[in-house]
Amino acid sequence: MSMKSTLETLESVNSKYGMFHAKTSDTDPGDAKFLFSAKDNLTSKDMETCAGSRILEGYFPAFDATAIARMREAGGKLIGKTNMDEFGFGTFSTNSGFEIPRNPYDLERACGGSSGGSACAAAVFEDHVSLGVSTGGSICCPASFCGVYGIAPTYGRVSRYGLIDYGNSLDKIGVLSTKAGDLRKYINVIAGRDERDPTSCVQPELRNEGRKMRSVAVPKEGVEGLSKDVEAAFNSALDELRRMGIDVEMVDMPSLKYAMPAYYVLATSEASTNLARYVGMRYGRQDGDYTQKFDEFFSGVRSRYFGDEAKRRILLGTFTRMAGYSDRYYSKAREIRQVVIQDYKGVLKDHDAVLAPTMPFTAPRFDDISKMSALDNYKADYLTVPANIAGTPHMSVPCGYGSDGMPIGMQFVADHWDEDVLFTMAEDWEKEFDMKKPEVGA
Amino acid sequence: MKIGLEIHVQLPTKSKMFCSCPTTEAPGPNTHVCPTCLGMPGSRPVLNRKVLEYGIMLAKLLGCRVNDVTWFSRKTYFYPDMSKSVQITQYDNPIGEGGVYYLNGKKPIRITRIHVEEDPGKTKRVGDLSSLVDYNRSGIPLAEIVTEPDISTPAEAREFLGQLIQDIRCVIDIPGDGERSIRCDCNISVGKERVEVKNVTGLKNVERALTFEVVRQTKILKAGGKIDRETRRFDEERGVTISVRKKEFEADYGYIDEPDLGVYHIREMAESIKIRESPQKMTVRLSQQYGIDQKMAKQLVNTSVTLAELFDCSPEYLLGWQSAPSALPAGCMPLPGTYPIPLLGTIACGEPILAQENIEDQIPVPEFIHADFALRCKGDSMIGARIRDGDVVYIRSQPDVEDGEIAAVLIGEEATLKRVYKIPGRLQLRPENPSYPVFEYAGSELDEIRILGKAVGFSSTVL
Repeated sequence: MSMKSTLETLESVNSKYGMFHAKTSDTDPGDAKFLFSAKDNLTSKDMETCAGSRILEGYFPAFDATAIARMREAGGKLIGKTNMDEFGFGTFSTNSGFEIPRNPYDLERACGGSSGGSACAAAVFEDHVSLGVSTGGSICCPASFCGVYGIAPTYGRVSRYGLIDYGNSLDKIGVLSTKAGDLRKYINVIAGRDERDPTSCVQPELRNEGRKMRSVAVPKEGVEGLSKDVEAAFNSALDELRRMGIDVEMVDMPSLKYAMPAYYVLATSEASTNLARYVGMRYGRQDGDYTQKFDEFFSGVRSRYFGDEAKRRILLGTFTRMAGYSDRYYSKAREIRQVVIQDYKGVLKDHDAVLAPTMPFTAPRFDDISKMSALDNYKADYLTVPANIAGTPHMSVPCGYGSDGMPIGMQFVADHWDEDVLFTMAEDWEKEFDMKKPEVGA
Repeated sequence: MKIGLEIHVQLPTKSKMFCSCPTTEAPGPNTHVCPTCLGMPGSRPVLNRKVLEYGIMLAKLLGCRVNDVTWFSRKTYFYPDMSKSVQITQYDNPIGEGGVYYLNGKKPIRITRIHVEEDPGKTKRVGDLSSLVDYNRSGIPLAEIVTEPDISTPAEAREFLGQLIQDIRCVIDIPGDGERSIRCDCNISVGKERVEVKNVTGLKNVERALTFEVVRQTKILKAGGKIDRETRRFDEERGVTISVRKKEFEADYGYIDEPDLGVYHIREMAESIKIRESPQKMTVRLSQQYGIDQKMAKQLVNTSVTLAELFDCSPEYLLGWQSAPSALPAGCMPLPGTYPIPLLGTIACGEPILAQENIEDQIPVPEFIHADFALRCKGDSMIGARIRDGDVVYIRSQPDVEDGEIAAVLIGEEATLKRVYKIPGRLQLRPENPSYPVFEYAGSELDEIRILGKAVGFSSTVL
């Protein structure tokens, strides 16, 4: 499909899958070298940017996020801003203030989250790359559910300038695509120092040496509680890896089970301060009652336009950093993060990557999701959270399909700054893996 | 009675603390703003390092221990002038802690801490029902200085602030734009409970607000009442304080570390920063060193620090007989000073003559010429360099010179003044007079040659 026909059918494809919150109305690609989409929490000058939240309705940023600017400089044309869980708060993109993207393999099922719209766009459009953002697994989870490759590079690899913050010490911008080679290609475009984000300025050079993966460690903690389909697909993927000459060893990583509670404390603490700025002044929704006192006005706007999950995380995060509680929660969570990092460093001394299924089950149906409690929801992230809390680069690659035909992914976690070994793994895996693309129609 | 102060001082950086907006007078409301200081989603802070430098200077002025490692925290509270509803400030590990500052050189006032933070914007009431917000001030760097409750009276608080402000201005060059650029939170307890009067502007108002509180609290205590722990504000027009909130509503700001900014290792920076003597220290020193009354010393320093610096200059210096003291007061032009160097004898400007190294005399040299000894010239071979027979040449001792420089050169036992040229494997000594030959040395001859030093100046008699 040519770029032109992609643009011409954008409207009808979007009405079927609901991947875009905002999209281009251009039907001519002009001199674009490629088309790309970006998660709606990356600011874009020419498109409304809401991060999935109604409180930001009407926000047209004055500046492009560095990642988007670099994609444009490389010849990319931004075709749409993808739907997501509000501010990234979710696992299925169902916590969106706007449209919920539908899984290309089964429209009754979720795309995963929070970069659900990005994974959907990557799976549906040919030759398409989408920028996603991961805080606790928001790239790998939807990549796994939508059967595409997705990588979240090391924390600090890609400038976060122009990223609407969820948890600043956790947020990472990455890439989703059906083509393994796109991971290396586009991370190389968006990575690199940017003086507008000091945390991007300590990174070593991104290597592109094609270093092969020789051994992976599979943590026992990572293969517990899996659905039968996921377990079967993962085991046959392990056999395939062994055939490719990669050592597979089972290891213990006891710290992984503490990563989840620590993650929710750190992420919500930071999120609750990040979301404090949305008070109905200066940008986004500003339609409160101006005769009220300022705090009543603020509360009014926030009550009306934040979704339930955003409110829940603000309350959680405010609680965990209050005087008298912060030592018990916030400070302890930071200590756990160091323990998790040390656990990864220990295992990665002898192995090139830590490997486990990306998600414990395949994309669930929307009606099943609505029956899940908030806690069930949080627990679904237990495989993706540890690498995110450690800031280590991680990648989901499609590794099989369930009895229901839904895609299954596995997640490789490499050492800090070692994206090269992940890129190479994806490129090698693509040659061996029989990818089944969904039937796409408008 | 115990009084402690929290003093906010705007730091004189050219751009704001976390963005590149200017800090100068703005042409209108909300003109010196950008996505960062407006807290637009997706923007983020980048630290202006000058803020750390000023913070370190103030920490040193206040005798604080400068922490080796410092970082920033988020203080969350909702107010329209706070664009992010989060103020980037310091909580754990501020720039400086544990200082002492002496009032009039005598009374110690302990300094709890000094940290840096961003200023919010300004809210302006328009009529009864609405307010406007101007974010030009949002993100201007502030230093907050917190004292222990070591101040005894409202008058002393004013005196302390006045002295501190003068010292701060001198040490970090804050333009003298009136005392209103200093804002202060005043903590005062007459009995047991502490009352905080927030955001008082200017020295006079600090004294007024505190005096009002002394009277108010004393009255309550005399009547057998109890003082509530609370926060109050000062109404400048009426000269009274008004209760804002009681202790049980004391804000919990839920501090967390600022994740967008890293950890700053400032030890080396702190070691490299030297601050000038503060007016207060100078007052005490002048009084002790020169035996003048402290009041007079204070008046002198208050009038002009530059004028007071002249006290450190000796008459010899002012007459140009002595080289400059380490710090030359700005705007003072002394006569050029001189210093003595030995005149070591005669050097040939012509055929090399036997070196005689004995001190003939001590001669004065202008202080801007750095020489170690002088030689009297004999002959006219350097006439082209304007050095004549009988001139005194000043020499700086050094074992080698650059190509083409004039040097005093020892050839065996004989000394001569020539231009030195280095050609690979050879050395040429050229005169500045065509009627003299060029001497050239190579191979083992070079072992006989020793450069005594470089000619850096000469003095000549007017014919």
